[in-house]
Order: sequence, then C-alpha cells, then structure tokens
Amino acid sequence: MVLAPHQVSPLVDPSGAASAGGAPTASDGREVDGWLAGAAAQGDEGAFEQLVRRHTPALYAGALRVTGSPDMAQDVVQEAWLSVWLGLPGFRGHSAVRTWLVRIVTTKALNSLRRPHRTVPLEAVPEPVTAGTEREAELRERAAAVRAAIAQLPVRQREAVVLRDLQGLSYDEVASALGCSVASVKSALFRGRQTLAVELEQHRPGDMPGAHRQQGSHP
Amino acid sequence: MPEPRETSPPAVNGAGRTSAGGDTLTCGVPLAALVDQADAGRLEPADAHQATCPSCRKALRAAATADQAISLLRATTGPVPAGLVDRVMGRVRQTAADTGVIELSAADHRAGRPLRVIGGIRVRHQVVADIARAAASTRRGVTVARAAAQPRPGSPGKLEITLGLLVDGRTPLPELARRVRQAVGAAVRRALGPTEVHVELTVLDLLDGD
Repeated sequence: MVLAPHQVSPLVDPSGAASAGGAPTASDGREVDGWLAGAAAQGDEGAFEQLVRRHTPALYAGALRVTGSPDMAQDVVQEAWLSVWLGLPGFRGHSAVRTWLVRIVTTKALNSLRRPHRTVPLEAVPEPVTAGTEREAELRERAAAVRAAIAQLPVRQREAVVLRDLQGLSYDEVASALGCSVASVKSALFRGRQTLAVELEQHRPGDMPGAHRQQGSHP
Repeated sequence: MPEPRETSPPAVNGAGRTSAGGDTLTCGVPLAALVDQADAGRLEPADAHQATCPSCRKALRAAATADQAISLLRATTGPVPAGLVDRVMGRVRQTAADTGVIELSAADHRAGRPLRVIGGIRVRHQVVADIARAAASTRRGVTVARAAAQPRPGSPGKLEITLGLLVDGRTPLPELARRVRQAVGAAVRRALGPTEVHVELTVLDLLDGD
C-alpha cells in the first residue's frame, strides 16, 4: 500500500516515531522523511518545517564538528536548508533524505573552512593563558590544525573522512552519498586517514600525542 | 619502512591497487581490512604478519594518529542555538516570496526561477504544477504523488514539468507515459498558450489494480 503525500498524517511525530505505537525504527524515520520531502517538494512549507525540526539538531552538531565554530555552523545549517528547499524538486531519492541532508551540510561546512573569513570567530581569538585554560587552548589549537589538514585532503578522501568519521554515516550511507561502492569508500577513507596523519606529523611534529608516542617506538 | 609503490591515485603509506581492483598495501593486506580493524579500535598489530610487516605497522601508526586527531573534532559539541529553526524557516519563506514574482521582461532570461511569464501574467510554478497534476490524474491508473514545474534549464521559453507517479501496473509503462505526457502538454498549452513542454516522469511505485 502506498500513500500519497496528502494522506500522510499531519500529526507525524517529529522524532520519527511511528504513529501506530511501538518504538520508532530507522525505516519509520526514512519513510516519514520521504513523504515529508515529497510534500515539501510540492511547496508544502509545513512539511518542510517538520523536516527542518527533525534534522536540524543533528545537522548543526555535524556542522559544528566540521567547522569548530558555532557561528559558522549556524550559517552552514541555514545555507544548507535553503539549498535543500530550492533543490527538493530535483531530489530523486537515490539516497535517503537524511544522507542527502548530511552531504549538503558537509559540503557547505567544508567550503566554509576553505573560504577566507572576513571576521574571526570569537573562539578563534586567543584567550589569555592561565593554568586552567592552557590545556583547552592547546586542544583548540590542535583541533584547528586537524580541520585545516582535513580541508586540504583530496576531495574524495575528504568526503569519506568527514562523512564517516565526523558525521557518523554508515559505510552504506557514505557509498550512497558519494555514488560509489563500499569498497571504494573504505579505500578513500584509508588514504584520507593516512594522508591526514602524514600532514599532521609533517607540519606539527609531536603535536598529536599518539603520533609522538608511537613514532618513538618504531624505527 | 617500505617505499611507497607508484599507483594511481598516488600511494599513501605503501597502498596500491591489485589487478582485481581491490586496494591493498604492498604486502597484500587489503586496505578495507585495515579500515575495519581501525574501526574496531584495534590499532596495534593484530597478528604475526602485522607485528613484523613495516607497511602494516606504518599504516596502523598513521591510523592511530588520525583516530586521535579526529576524536578531537568529534568531541566538539554545543547546544543548538535557540531559534535556529525559526530563522531557517524565515529565510525559506522569504526566498519563496522573492522567487514568487519576476518581471515580465526578464522572464526568458532567468532560467532556474520557478516561474513562467505569459503575456504579462505572472504565473507561479506551483500553478503550472497543479495544472499538470490535474491533467495527469485524469489518466486511468495514474496517481500523481508529486508535481513540479520550472523553466527548462538552458532552454529559454520552454517549461519542464516533473511528475512522480504511482501507477497501475497492468498498463504498459511506455503507453501510460505517452498518455500522461499528451494530457499534461495539452492542459498546459490550453492554460498558458503555445508553450513547449518537457515532461519528466518518474514512476515511484506500482499500485494494486483493484
């Protein structure tokens, strides 16, 4: 039985829970997303708002992990949803709605990292070093170095690393998002992680604690 | 430490490509296996081969470095800014309003805008989509799940209508598609005047014939 979009209950639980009771499942969420996206593609702003409410927390968290800046993450999420709204009529459903959304946010977040910024995020402004914040400042500096290194990865490696390691997509989802096989994703991921490690070791020798410790134990 | 083998794409830590298409280290260990091992948190040599293989040891060291680096980013968390959803919807509604109207003289030069301008009447794309939906729905065995219309990209003056259909599986799809295109084209031209219409159809699912 297939329902037309207008037959979908307007009282869909934004959490993705099935209205018939019982624990929500991933397939429930995908199905609801599909129908909401279908209705939104026809200009249904209410359906689109439900999509926005369902996915914004996760998309914002992902954008924050990639950019490291709440302001940039917020901009990324807003730009991404705008792109989604404009692009929905062309969404063919080759991948799940969630996967599609994550890829759009990821692309915009990575672009924002590579774009020169006219303003400096507040968190990037060095804070006065005190005993309590020195460690935090060091971690922020390391995280910034990692983000810079990720931004310089070859595009396929970068997408694989971010979609899998930062956004937490499954291998099947990453493969679907990138239009390739799981084996290709794993190869790109392997190379991306290796390149990332090499970059970090070359440019910030000894900065990554694990790298420093392990380098010392091998010839 | 092994010398990286020249491969395409460029080798990383001795990674290469087998003739069968699977990527491996120069020692023959599949990259996918090392990825799985790293995902399982086993970043130390797991067997006798890895304990002595320079390629594997180097790959695992790099995997550990990357894992620690990425874990720094994974730890970046923060609350969703208050009002973010409302701001998103505000921008969406503003965009919808902005693209809802364009000037007559610019109509054919603004491909991608969801509007069609005919004889001084501004027509929203949704109106055209509704006409197409109604026309397609008159065909026996067709339910229209979604409909959209826009100027055909790169073809000024032409319309592209996209329909997602649920169809009765008993009718051959080519025949069904012909009937739908004919009905949609006639309805759109009746409403808007002579117009070249491109109708893209996607069959979303087959319905029971009962």
